[in-house]
Amino acid sequence: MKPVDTIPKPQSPLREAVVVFFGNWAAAFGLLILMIVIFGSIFGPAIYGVSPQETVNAPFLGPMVDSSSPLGTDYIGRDVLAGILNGGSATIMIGAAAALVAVVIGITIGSLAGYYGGLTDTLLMRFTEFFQVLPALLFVMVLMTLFTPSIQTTVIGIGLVMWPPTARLARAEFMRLKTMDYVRAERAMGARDRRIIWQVILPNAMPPLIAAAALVIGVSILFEAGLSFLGLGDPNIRSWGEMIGSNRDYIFDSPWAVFFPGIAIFLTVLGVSLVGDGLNDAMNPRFRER
Amino acid sequence: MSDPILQVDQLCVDFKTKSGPVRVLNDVSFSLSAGETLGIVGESGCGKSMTSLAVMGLVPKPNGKIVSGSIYYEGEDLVQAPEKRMRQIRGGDISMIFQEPMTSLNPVFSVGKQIGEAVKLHEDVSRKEINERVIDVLTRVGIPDPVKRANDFPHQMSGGMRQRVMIAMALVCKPRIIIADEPTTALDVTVQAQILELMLKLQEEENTAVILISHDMGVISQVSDRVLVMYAGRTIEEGDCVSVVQESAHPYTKGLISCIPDIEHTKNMAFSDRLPVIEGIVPNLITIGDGCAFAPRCTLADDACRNWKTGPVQVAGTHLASCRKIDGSMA
Repeated sequence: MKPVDTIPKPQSPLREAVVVFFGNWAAAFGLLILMIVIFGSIFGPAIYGVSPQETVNAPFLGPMVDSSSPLGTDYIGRDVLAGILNGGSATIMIGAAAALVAVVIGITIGSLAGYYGGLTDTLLMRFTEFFQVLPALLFVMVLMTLFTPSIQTTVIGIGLVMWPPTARLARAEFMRLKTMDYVRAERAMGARDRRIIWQVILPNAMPPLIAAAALVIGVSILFEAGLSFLGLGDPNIRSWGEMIGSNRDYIFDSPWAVFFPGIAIFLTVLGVSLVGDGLNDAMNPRFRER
Repeated sequence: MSDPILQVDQLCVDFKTKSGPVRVLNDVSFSLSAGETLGIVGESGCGKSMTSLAVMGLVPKPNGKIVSGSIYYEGEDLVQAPEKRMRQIRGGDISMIFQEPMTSLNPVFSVGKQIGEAVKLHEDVSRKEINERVIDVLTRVGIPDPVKRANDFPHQMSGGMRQRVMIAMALVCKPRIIIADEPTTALDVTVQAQILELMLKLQEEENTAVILISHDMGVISQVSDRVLVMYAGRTIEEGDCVSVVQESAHPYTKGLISCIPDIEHTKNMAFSDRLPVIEGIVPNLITIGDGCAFAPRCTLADDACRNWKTGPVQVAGTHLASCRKIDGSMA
């Protein structure tokens, strides 16, 4: 028999989730990609020190041709590497902020609908469906043409088309959790609805919502890239999508100017998705065997 | 007997169903004095839990509704009380212990935090004081090493431990009445005894009134001062524990008592008659008439029983039972 003090210390659910997360190599790999992308976007521009907006070299310069522009230049001689390093922050920020908008709207509407049920639920869900049947890209395109394209309008536009799935997920979780014994017990202790929704049920509904939010970030990044590609982003801000969009006319002359930003988007979205999947597994009690 | 702190008068609760309203509580009346333990016993679906939910003002909305009757808590009618007042009463004056300790604690918070939250809901006290209260109440319910255990999460505790935590949570605001809805049903027999003993001890310390709900006549008879037997939403027998158990008047109560397994009796009996049962099932509340609800299952019943308007009949002193066959009700 083992001595008493070798019994493993009881773990909090959070710490347990962290262990499961890092035990999943795909999730850890995704997190590694994300870390590289984020650090590259924060410190890359200062380290590399080349302006992304100015013509710094001859146009149509291929990668590895000139050592001062390792990834080549585009059709007006802008440095592609500088563009990727500088464009990352805009792309990730817009993706994350739009996902935040979507998740906040989604959780608010979904939890109220799921908790109160009845007429409240019907009205809120019809409202959600109204947004769900809107052609997302068209809706945001209209928004962007009506208002000046800027980071704010992009974020709000993407957020507005991305929230319905989160709302439905939150609603389903709340409908399930509101019948739990501990919710009844909480009510018998004299808690009001507000407390039960935000401080009792929401913390229990968080795991699937966090995982869903990570996936929303990935999709939002793609959406931002798509908008910029169509020339509907803020033209004064370099983002990966904008790089692809502005170079698409010269895709046969300088394919690298389109290829490298595309790879950057691909890797980032892949990283976000892997992390999201890993979070889903780590926080889903069904996968927490052992 | 002192003034009752809880007086339930002719409480009727209806439930909306597809085939019309169903009366799940029919003219339920009882009273409870400080320091007293009232046992409510009956089969599943007889209205035990609904009675407790009605007292807490937690009849499930929008289907359930208190249609008539009153619930006086220290002279205040809880049926009429606004929701805001009810929230103060819940947990503060009347608190509840649930049946399932395994699922009645929030899995994402430590037990100490949950007990602390219960204090915060009702009293405006500093964090330090809350911590002291939590540790103190955990000590009182017999949790070893309470300072450390307060940081444990519910899944790290056993069923008995969790039920102790539930009791601690119910006690922490020093309520006048505790409603324990089948507090020991989900526990091992050995743990059951510990929990019951603990509840009785704590009740004596604070002079709290307890409503103990159970389908286990054995549990009820060991700890209650008075017993209320319910059947199909009605109270069919009421009286002090000893007379209800020893001189039970209603055939249903007699049946319940004869169903208690008795190991002494089992030792020398034939395999064929191991345990008596009450034949039949609880009647469908939708089709139930005005007559005696137990008549279809009762061995003594005759046609007159099925039409007899039920009402309490005095058996002796405060011992009441609603059966036509009791002497005095035949007239």
